[in-house]
Amino acid sequence: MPTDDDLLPLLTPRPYHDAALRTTILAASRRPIRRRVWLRRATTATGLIALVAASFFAGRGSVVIPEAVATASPPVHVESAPEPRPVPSEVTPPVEWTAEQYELKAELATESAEVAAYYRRAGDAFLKSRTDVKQAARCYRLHLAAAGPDGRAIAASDSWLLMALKN
Amino acid sequence: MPDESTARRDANDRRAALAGDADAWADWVGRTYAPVEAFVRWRCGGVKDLADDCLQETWLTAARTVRQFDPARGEFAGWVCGVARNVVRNQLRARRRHGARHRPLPEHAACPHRHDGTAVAEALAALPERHEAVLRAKYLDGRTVREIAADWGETEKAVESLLTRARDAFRAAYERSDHADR
Repeated sequence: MPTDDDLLPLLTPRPYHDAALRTTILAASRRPIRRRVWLRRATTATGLIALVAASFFAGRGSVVIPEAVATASPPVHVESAPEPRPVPSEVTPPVEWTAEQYELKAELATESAEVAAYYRRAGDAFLKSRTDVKQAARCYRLHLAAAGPDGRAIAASDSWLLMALKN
Repeated sequence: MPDESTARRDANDRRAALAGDADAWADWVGRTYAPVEAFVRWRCGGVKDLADDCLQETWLTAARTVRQFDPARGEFAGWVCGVARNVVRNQLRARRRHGARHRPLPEHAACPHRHDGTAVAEALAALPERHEAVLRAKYLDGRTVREIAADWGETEKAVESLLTRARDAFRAAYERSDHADR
């Protein structure tokens, strides 16, 4: 087929092959590839050395730094706290007076409020410890007499006998 | 895009080369050397010393930068040809600088054989990639317009039109390069 392509002489490839050049190129280009093995080994070795060095200096640092801190910081004076006193395991209750003792206190008291309070305790003591209703009623009557009109109001702490007397 | 088996084989060769396996590299180069050599010699306009220098530099650059080759994006030979294209451009630029410093004697400068090849190389280097690719397919690979159209997924008319524009661009670049040499 005829052609008028004027570029054919310029762009048509001229077959040429240089076997020696190919061998040279192949040998030369193998070098950078082989170097990768050494590069990788060197990188691994460097990494290991760096790791060992880092571990060594970290170890030294853990010894040196606390020493430096210990020498640099001023001594701290710690005052010892006073030892707490031993707490008694059970509180000894105050000595409970007897009904007669309360009655005596009431007779010796000068204030009417005190008198009323001691007669009240004396009445409670007769009623609870001895179940002596007669004596208790007598002390409660004296309590009510000393307490006046204010003491006649019924309270929750009143014994049954005192409540009955107030009514 | 390369077919699956080629991509897999290229990926294996790349892995071996990156691991420092020089024998695998030699096999790989052996399989792709011929088309790359043909491209470089054509791209250098048949100028032997230029082509030899470019071939050596191309393969050394490929060996150093093989990590950048992506088997999923194209075949190894195509990637090396891309490297060669840049190498030829750089070589021509360096020779131009060198030639400006060392002007040849007039009787040597008039040698037509030497100038034809260099002017072809200069003209091809000045073309856009698409123009160079269609000229390569037509003149180096010896493909018909119909085959090129089928490969590229274009109509024959589009390829014919592109070929005409590429020829015109080449002629203009060749004229400029040839006049600059003389």
